[in-house]
Amino acid sequence: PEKQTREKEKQQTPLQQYICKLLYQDLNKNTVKIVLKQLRKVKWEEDNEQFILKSLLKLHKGKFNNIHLVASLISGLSPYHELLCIKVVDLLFESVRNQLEINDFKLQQKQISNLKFLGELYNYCVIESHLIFSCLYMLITYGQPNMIPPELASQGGQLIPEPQANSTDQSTDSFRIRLVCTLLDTCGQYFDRGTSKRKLDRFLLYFQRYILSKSHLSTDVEFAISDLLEVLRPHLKRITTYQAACEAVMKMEEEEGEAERQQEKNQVQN
Amino acid sequence: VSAAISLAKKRTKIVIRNLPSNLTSELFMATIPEDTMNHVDFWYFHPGKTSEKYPSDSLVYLHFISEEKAKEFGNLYNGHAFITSKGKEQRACVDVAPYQKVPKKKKVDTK
Repeated sequence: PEKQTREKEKQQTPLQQYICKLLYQDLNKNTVKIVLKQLRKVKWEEDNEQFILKSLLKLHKGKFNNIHLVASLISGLSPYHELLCIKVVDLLFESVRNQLEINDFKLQQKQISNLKFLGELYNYCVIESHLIFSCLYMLITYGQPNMIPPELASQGGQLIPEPQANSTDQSTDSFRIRLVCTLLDTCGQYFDRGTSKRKLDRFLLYFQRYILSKSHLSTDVEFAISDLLEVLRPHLKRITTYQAACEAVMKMEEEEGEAERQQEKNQVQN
Repeated sequence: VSAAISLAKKRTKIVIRNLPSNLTSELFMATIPEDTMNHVDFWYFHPGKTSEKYPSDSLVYLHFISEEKAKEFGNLYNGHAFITSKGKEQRACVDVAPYQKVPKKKKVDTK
């Protein structure tokens, strides 16, 4: 028989081992301040920074319930290591997008924790609401150019021509609905007044259309949606047919277009 | 798809995706037009992973001083072809970065 080769063990420096221990074992709500202090004491060189960045993004190695603590670490580090925080957000978003493209069953849990993390970053004021909405619209439109709301479509064409859509989102696949629920479960309750409330109401219309475009929903996803809506908008009447949802979206888009033209007119007059 | 996702107002920070995973920042610099860096005030290179199980692409984030320059570069570089070690062609894909923030000033951590 062939000799079985043992997988090479990763060579880590003591410092790297220590960082791993801090992030994946020691971190809990009582120790978060200590961990933050220890991380700040690390000599902040190129290699170390890269390692900390990678470790912070490996959320699946820690506990799911600890994700908000990692977000609070990021927010605590941000005054001193702005670059690190920017990289974390950039790469997190990229990872979400990458996994939408691959749509690998094995990576689904990782993707869920990614979105939870993104929501928590909003809760800890590391990112602003427009990034959350970017992500939400990405979840329901990626790979489906005809679903994109007009203001985004017009933006997109300007800078760069769009690559071909690769459709990894089948009409029977309801995983993205779960992702939207995860993200809004985490930070949706803060979109309850002002512009962000309006933005969320608008998104929910598109979301309902997306839900209705699916041919079949399993019971657990259906419950996830109704739980979510009950918390966010208890008085919302769910649209029941795809046709009605399309009409509602079209009506809203028309009204928005009208308002925009009105605004332009006013500007010209002034 | 792509740029359509970004709701950001100013679009001066761009991301180049789909770069070969074994690319280095020096090799990348050799592929862009020479004067590009004159219009870039912040950039970083994130190396990909060459692992067999879960390979990941390299990424480059560039922040331009003006939107026109970013557009110009995007139109020029989008679709830039690389030949990977397996002999396949891999085309770079330029896009607006969803998160437009760039670092401002440096504070020294005294702890």
